[in-house]
Amino acid sequence: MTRDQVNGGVTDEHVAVFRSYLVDEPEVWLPLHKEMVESGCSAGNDRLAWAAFVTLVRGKFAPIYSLGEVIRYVAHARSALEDQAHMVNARVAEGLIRRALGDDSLDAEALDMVDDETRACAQILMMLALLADADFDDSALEEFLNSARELAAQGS
Amino acid sequence: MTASVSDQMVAALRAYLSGNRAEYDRLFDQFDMKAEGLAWSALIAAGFFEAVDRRWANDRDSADIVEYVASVRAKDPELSEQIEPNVAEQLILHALGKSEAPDVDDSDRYAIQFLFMAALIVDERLDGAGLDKFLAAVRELADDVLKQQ
Repeated sequence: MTRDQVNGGVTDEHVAVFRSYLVDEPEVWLPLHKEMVESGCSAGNDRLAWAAFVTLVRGKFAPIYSLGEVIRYVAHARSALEDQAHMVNARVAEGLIRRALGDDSLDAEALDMVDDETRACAQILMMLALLADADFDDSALEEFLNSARELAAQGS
Repeated sequence: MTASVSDQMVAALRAYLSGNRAEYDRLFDQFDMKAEGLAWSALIAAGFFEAVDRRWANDRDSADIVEYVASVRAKDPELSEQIEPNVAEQLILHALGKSEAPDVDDSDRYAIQFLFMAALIVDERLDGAGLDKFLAAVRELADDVLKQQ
């Protein structure tokens, strides 16, 4: 078993690229992202992105939350998009948050049927909203990335 | 023969919007939906259009519509599962002439129109006269639509 496999396939490079998504402009992270995809190593990035999402969601909503809070939070994030709000599927965004929180009442099958683009769009918007709320400084960002990496290693 | 809205339909809708659910159920159970379903659906659709227009005609703020749909769903977890939020928002935007009609089946459209008409009118806290005025306008609109079909 390799070190990467032990870490859930998440490498230092994945963490560096993911950090770049969060702090740099697209002209900085896009070449890094392309290089990673072309090298066939993007699976670790997907795992890290989901673990980061889960970390942020749990930081915001756990341990006690109501479905109403999730619904209102998603609406608040989508409303910032104004006339483009329809680009993000509210139900999918709510479903991703509920999955991150381990909500047993979620219709997991329906969420799994969602196409990749719809899912990615919802996950990215909610991640950005959660990050804006978290308002990390440099050290908190490192701590967050470490937590996400650990979670990815555990399989989220 | 052209279908039209009956006094009993208006009375049923008035009972619902006044919070008298027992009277609504009693009146609704007397409808012959095979014969009267078209007129009842037209009344609910007209009520939805009128309620949406009253709330947003002068302020077509998409963000406010998104937040409003969420606020209605957030009050009731079971309801929130039944209502597709993007479709509800699109139906509201369509009523305001801001969007194409969503691709939605008749029963889902009816459920969304009924729910949001009721929520919007309850929010207005109309008195008896205000409710009668709303219902008269809605009946007229529904009958106009039915005559054109």
